[in-house]
Amino acid sequence: MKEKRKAAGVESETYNNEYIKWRKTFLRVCLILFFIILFLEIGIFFVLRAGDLIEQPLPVYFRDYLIRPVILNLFVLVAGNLATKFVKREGIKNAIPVLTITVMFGITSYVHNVFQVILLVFCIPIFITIIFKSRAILAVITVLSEAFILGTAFMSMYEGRGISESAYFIPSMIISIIIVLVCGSLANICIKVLNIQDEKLLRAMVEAKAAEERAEEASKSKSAFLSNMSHEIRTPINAVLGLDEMIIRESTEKNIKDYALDIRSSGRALLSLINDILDFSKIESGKMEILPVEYDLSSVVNDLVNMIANKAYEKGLSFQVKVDPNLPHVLYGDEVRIRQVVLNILSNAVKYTDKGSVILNFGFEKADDSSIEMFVSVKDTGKGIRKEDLDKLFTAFERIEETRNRHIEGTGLGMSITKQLLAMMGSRLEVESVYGEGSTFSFRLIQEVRDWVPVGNYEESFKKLREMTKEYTQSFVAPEAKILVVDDMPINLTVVQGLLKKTMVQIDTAVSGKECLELAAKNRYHIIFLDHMMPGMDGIETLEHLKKDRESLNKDVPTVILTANAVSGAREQYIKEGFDEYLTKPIDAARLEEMISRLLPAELVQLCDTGDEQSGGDPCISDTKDDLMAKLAKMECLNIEQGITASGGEDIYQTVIEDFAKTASTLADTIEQLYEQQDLKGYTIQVHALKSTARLVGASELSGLAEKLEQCGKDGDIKTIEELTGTLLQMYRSLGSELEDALYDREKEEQKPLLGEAQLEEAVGTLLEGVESFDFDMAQSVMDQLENYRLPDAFAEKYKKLRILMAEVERDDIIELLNQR
Amino acid sequence: MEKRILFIGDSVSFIINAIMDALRRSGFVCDSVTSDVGAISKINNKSSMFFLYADEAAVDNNAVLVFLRDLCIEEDKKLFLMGYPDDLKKVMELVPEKVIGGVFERPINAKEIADRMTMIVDDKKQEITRKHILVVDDSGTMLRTIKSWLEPKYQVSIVNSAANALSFLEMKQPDLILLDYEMPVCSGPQMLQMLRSEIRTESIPVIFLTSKDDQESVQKVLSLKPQGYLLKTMAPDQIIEIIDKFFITEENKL
Repeated sequence: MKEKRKAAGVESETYNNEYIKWRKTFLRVCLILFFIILFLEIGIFFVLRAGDLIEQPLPVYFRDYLIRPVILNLFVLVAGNLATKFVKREGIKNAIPVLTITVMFGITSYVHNVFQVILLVFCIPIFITIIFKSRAILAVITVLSEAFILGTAFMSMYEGRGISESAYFIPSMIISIIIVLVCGSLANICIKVLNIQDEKLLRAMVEAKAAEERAEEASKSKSAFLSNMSHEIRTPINAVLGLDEMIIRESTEKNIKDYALDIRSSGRALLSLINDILDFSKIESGKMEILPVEYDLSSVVNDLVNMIANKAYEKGLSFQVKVDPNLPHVLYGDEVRIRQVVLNILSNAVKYTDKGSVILNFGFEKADDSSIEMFVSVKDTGKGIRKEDLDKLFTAFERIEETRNRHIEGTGLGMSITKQLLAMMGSRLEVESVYGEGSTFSFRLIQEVRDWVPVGNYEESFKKLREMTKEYTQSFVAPEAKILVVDDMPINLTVVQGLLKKTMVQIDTAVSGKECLELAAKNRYHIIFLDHMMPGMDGIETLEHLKKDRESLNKDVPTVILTANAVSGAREQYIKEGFDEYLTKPIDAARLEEMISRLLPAELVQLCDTGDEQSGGDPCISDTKDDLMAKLAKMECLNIEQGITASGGEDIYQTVIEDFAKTASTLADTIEQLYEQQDLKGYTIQVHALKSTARLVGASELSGLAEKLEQCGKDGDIKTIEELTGTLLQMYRSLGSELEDALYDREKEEQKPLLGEAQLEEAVGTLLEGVESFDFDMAQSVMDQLENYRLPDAFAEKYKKLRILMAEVERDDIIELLNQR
Repeated sequence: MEKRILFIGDSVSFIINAIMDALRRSGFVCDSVTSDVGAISKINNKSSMFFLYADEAAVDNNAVLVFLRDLCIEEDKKLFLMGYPDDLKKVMELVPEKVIGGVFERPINAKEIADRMTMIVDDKKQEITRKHILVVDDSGTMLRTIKSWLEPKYQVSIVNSAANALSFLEMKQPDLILLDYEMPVCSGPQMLQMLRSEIRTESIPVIFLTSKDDQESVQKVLSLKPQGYLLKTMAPDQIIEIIDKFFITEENKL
């Protein structure tokens, strides 16, 4: 019992306080009792005197019935009070007042020998002990009471009454004793029952406390889990998307870039699915919060449009946005969740509509002086929903007409999340639908107004915004800018470095708040990026330290916090903490660039034209290879992508182009010759070869024509051959010379050294050796080496021919030519 | 042994560069130094192989030859020679046989030199495991393209006519011939017949290269019983895959 009391802790304290109350009460009762007895004695005296019933002489009477009992009672009273003060043990302390009462009763009954009446009075203290629930006290009081009864009885018998008279007392005495015992037992039972109840109560309280603690633990760990998961999951996805972005930007191989673009779209889809699941978890565990902030309505509409417009157009749908021009443009609400809800509805509309239109409508009604009821609807001409299925719409994970709609991606969580978010914002989703014709999803939301200035014509302000953002998305270089990026995960640092490589900004990195401070103490940066979640010192703490140092090199440096936790209201929070900006992870490359170019001092930023996205080349630095590719790209008759794919790679493609250019003139002549000689077979073979090589080069038109003429050759269709050969030759020759021009670099030519006689001899000799032994690599090596020289005129002609022959692998002719001295 | 060679010779020479190219393609590191004792001794020599182009100048330069000989004996290095037979003989009068790692007589084949050097370095007595493929096609572009696809996995030689192919076959025996179907003068099928009719060449496997994929043509091609056929329109990796598979099945047959 004691242990349980201890375990219950606080509870036993209140228990004890009760006892203290009762003790005090009873002590007061003792005091009152004393005075009652006093006055009673006095009263009885006067009553008896009046009735002349006093047998003893007065002094004796006084002594026996007034002085003695009063003094004794006083003594007991005082003793009782003192004892209560000095005794420490609770049990005994509880007993004292009751004992005092009992003894006072005892004394009085003993003095008056009226124990029969007073015996009943003994039952009172006995029952009082129930309050203190102590069987020990009960035992003591019972024994005491019996003692007084016996004592009084014997006293009476002893006081000279005859045996017969004494015997008169015996039954009463026995009855008294029995009654007291019975009362005692009853009291005992009461105490037992009460104790059991006590125990049960205690147990229950202990359990309740434990359960409460468990629930709190669970709730805490759930929150921690969710926010942890959010961080844990977003971090690797950030890495994947960021590195993928680097591949897209740096890759020069089209195949690889295509793979990377696919990875990007899958990665983004994955991210959005995960966000859905995390949100759903949050809502289900009651952790989702609506955090209102001030927001600009038109920017929300813009974001929505940007996110949906392309998807709609890709499906051939028309997408219209109607915004009531009188809508106040700054509102107060949970912008993030509203956007999420509308985006979800829009995505569904686009997903389930194959033709026609999707119309987004924003309207309102003034609700009162400081708020409006905003009305948002999305109307589509999609499949529509059957009445019976409307219920299923909101059931999580269930999707309507699963079999028919299986090909549409999604987890089925969207609608459920939407509905719950709207409920949390005090709204609800309304659906109207005609199966086969389309649906309208809408909701009304009360929003406080922060600025009544109307939005105005949405179209116009949208255009203006586009103009502004267009400027910002221009690429830039800032080679003198120095920034510091702090993140505990090295992979994130790599990602940022990669994304900013082309801007040439000098980037220092740190993996902890401590390292950041060390670096900041030694260097002055133009911008500092701080990750929020870091072990040890987190981003916010680090900023505090940075700001504390007033003499710091980096005083007044703009700071940006990087966070994977995209919580609404975070912006305000971070700005309060002292940051200038915040950036969510996964880091959007364009936003990062825009932010940097905005935060850097203007003189450090050099804007430049965005290079061709597809080529992924440096915006400001050109590449000779890219030069060539750029030139080739401009040629209309060439499809570079096809050529590269057919050749098997960019490098091989370049060789193929060179080959083609070198041999075009001669081979065209050959075809012409064969045509004039009416050598059908020979012509067909040549044209057949041209078909393949043109395809490798990516000249699909030329290749197609060659194929056609090849077929004509096999079929003996002389007429068509006559009609089209001229065109073929013209195309071939012009392509050949265009390629030659693209390849030729005049400047380089003039810087080369002249080839000496001896060297020429050696070259020719080596060339011959190679060709004769069928070692074309060796021969090619010599040819390549010769490229680095200016050739003596006599040899230059031969050289040109040699190039052509080498390209054609015409061993015999080469040998012949080389042997001509 | 490390794959590092020091070339000793004066002035830029096309043939040496060609040999260096071939060696580099086989994974060797090639340095060069002028034919001068001082220069040679200054070189912090990581290479255990010297390559000397035995041209007229080198042959007359006794000082260098003696120096090289002593260096090789002391430091247990090997000297490789390349040149015309007469010049080589003169050099070998001064340099003992045990110092000489290999002698290459002109006319040389850079690729062969590279192969032999590789064999020496890897100390393999067996044949280079790279398969040798001969590609026969009348289009130079096609030849070069296919060569670039198949190298360096395979050793590829290219000829642009059946006639050249037959000349080649007199010197070497490739492991596989890729034969263009349509060629002027002597077509693919005709060449195949010629190959099959000679004992020396009848067992060399042949795979046809054709751009005709219609049933009739394919049947015609297959009726000649080549070891297979490839379409020119196939993607490079597909072609490599088929050739790989071919060699694997060949191995398994043995």
